[in-house]
Amino acid sequence: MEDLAIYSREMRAEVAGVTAAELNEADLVAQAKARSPEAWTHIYDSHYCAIFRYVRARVFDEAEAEDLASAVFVGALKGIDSYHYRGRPLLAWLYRIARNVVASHQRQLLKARGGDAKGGLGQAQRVIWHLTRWGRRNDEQPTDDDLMSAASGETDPAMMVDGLDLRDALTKLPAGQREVVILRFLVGLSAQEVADVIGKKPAAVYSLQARAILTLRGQLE
Amino acid sequence: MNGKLRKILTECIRDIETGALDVEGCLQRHPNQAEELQSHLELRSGLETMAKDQPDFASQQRGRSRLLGALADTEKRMIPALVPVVAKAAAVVAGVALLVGSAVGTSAALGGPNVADDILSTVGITSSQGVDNAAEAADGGIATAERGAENRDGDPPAAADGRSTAEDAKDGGLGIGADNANSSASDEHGNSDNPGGNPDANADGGPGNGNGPGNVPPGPNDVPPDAAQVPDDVPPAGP
Repeated sequence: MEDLAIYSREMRAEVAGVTAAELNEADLVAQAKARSPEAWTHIYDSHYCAIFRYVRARVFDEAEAEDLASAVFVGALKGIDSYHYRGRPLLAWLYRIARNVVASHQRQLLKARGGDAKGGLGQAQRVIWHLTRWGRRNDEQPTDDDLMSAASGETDPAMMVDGLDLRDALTKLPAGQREVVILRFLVGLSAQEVADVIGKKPAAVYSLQARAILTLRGQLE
Repeated sequence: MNGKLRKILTECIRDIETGALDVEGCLQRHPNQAEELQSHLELRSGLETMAKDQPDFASQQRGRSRLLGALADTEKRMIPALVPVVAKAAAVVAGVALLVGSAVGTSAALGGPNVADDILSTVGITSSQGVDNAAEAADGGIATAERGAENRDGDPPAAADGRSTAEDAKDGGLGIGADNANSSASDEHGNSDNPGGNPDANADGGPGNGNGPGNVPPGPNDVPPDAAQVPDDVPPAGP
């Protein structure tokens, strides 16, 4: 009987031009709005990995990335009442929250640890500076060896691609290209999924990907 | 940046990702840019095959606990927030019910339109039925009525025979109209909550009389005793 009801609902949805996946996400969002623990557990388990990878690519430190990734879901819980499902994947909404959480975190980081020490550094160097300062006391300054180590990618060999320190290189990419590279290669979404998440067409994702690769290759030369 | 190379690279990426071509197929299609194109596609392959970060299981569990904790906190905050709303709603409903009840009672008592009778008529109960019911109740309550006749307030057992009708009111000669009598009848219909079967109760629309000592003195709307019905051993009521 229950199967029949689900089948009937899906049939009606198909007639209305809605896919079963959208129907399930719509149901899931409705349950999440009703503060269903099962719904929130499902959302968390389904998307935590992608959100963690995205945050990890942006904030470099794993412990910090874990903390921020869970903060993304708490933020989603707080904002669920104002969220309206319109057919776009739920991950797109979570991604926007993650982007804001990371940006907010980086602003706080710059403010709290900023001061004069980073004043003369470029954007990429500032990120490396923050990376090397992780775990230090606020009054300590990074040494030249720290910067060299971070710039050479010795801190995380997994992020080396053909001798390219990807994290360093990502900071030099324009925002659109950087987001596509992170979502496509570091998070592991398909081009269509990336398009859904960032709200562009797949052709735009291919184009941004090509531009990013050309830029990254330019950094190696 | 070479715009042509970028366009070719975009096409190659699209074809590779949609499965239309592989890297070799792309290079064969663009032999003039093959060398340059190859280095870019290798970088892309390197990015694609790069190991993805895997979150630590324990940290994932901690994150889930944090989320569910926040969910529980949200629910706790929502319940106290709802309590005043529910209390206010209940108070409003109770207040409205009180006002309506008072208005209906006052209207009936003062001889105005009897809303209760109107409501009763919608469920098929009329005033005459109420009179009949009152008469039946009176038959069972003569003894009580007789006791009431002995009361100091002097209320006669005028309705002891259950005829608390408009005629009784007219007989009283105090200008109590049939409407009032009718309302009395409806009151007597409501006599179902008067298990003693006292026919005098509210028969005149005024305060209950004839129920024994300590009763409220007759009000202005009280029906005076019908001389024909006043027993000999009972002094006439009233001043």
